[in-house]
Amino acid sequence: MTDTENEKMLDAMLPVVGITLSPSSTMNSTRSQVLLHIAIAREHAARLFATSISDQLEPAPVFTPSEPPHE
Amino acid sequence: MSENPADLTASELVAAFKAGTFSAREIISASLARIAERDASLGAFTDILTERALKTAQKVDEKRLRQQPLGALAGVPFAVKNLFDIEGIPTRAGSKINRDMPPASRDAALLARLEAQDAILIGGLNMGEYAYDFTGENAHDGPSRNPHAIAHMSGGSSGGSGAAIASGMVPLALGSDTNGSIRVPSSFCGLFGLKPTYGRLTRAGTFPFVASFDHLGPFARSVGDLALSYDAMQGADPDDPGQAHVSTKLTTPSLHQPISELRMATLGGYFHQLATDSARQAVARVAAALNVTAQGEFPQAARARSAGYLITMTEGAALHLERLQTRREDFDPDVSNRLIAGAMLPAAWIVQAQKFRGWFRSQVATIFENYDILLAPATPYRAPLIGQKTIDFDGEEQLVRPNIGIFTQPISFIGLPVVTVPIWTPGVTLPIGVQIIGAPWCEDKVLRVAEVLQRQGVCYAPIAPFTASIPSK
Repeated sequence: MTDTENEKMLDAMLPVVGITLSPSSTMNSTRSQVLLHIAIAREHAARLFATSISDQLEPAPVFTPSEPPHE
Repeated sequence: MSENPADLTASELVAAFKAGTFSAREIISASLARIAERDASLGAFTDILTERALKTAQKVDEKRLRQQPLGALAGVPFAVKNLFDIEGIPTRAGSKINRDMPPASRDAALLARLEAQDAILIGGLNMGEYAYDFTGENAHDGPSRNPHAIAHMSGGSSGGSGAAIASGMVPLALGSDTNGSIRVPSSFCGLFGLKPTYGRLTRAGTFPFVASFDHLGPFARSVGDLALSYDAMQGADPDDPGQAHVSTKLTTPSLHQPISELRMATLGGYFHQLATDSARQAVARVAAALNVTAQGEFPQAARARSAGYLITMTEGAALHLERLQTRREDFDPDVSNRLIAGAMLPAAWIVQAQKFRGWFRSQVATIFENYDILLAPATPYRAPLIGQKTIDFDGEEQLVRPNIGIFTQPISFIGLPVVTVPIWTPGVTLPIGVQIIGAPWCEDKVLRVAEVLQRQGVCYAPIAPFTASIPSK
């Protein structure tokens, strides 16, 4: 994703999660810093998805409805 | 033995107290005097509970006078990171926002367990805001400083815990570790720190950060103190649904058992390639002391770190979303900016990260079929300067803040037990830590190895010489 696509993602999601940011794009502005962290997250996601994982793997943690009854 | 009880370890204090050398009141008074002398320069404490501490000391003294049975930590002053509930105080968790919450109605479970063993709470400790921090800097309460070099970071997020122990203000402190927040301050401040297996100790009565990764554990200047306090804190707690259902396994009785039968290896690959010379040399020194020549490797450790990074961003964002919507201006921007970014990330990424966690756990389990103990650096470098934003890493300029935890994060990602041990180099002021890593539920083994290293003199945790002046900016 390019910087522009990161910006589009940010602008689309901010109202969805109920957060507003000033449109300022100076280097130390909140918007710029958030975009920096989105870019870092995307690098991590790219590494995570670099190879596939079995469909059979349970996502940890596994939910337990309640303690199983003692038999 | 020192005439000042503030110079003693917890184990030494227990012996001295039970022998009548010092009263609990004398011990607490010495600790409070040390805090009064040093804390203004070091920023370790956010709450000093003089009245409570002296009252508890009086009760413990009366127990001894009446020859009633005394707890395993009788007379020992301790402090807790300020995300632990302390009755009567709002649990600030390093934030400005939480100060507006009602005071805690009761003590956190681990705090209560230590006091049940007649340890004495002295106060609450500084921390990085909402624990999303590796530096020990706090925008609201000021930084906690490294007692060995006060222009340098204590490390975080349990920065106050590191600073309080390394300066001799208290011999025992509790912290939390999500991605490295016990191990990093231990490394930077030259201490022993224990991060138990995920789910071992109850988290009841603490303000969370990332439920998938939050651990709690002790800091101390001796391995014996870690074992003593850890044993006191074990046990089932119905108030923590996240606690694992495992039997208590005391570590103090076996602490001095030989380790010759333990199979050990140094972690290579990621843990070697990304380390500076100082980190590699520290691991090499520990390996040499333990006669370790074998090398192991975690498959895809970088990917584990990435998965942990993403889960942390999103669980943190979810926890704080309402606060980000309504009180963003009251956050440290370094924290809120990361949390806002976390709120943007697709759910599919996080499910993938959690699936990868299951895969990684099974891969690492096969390594523990061949080895009992693994060695790795705790931090890539020694403590940077307070406020330092970037660092030259192998000729490349990198951000300090997110990269301090590159070696701790893949380990806590799957909840392995770790003792961090401090290594010193002659002529170098600042220490650096090494992680002694065990298989799940094997805290006894990691503590035994750390104990041998301490006994050999390879690792030690001195009280830093005191300097009152804060360097000018």
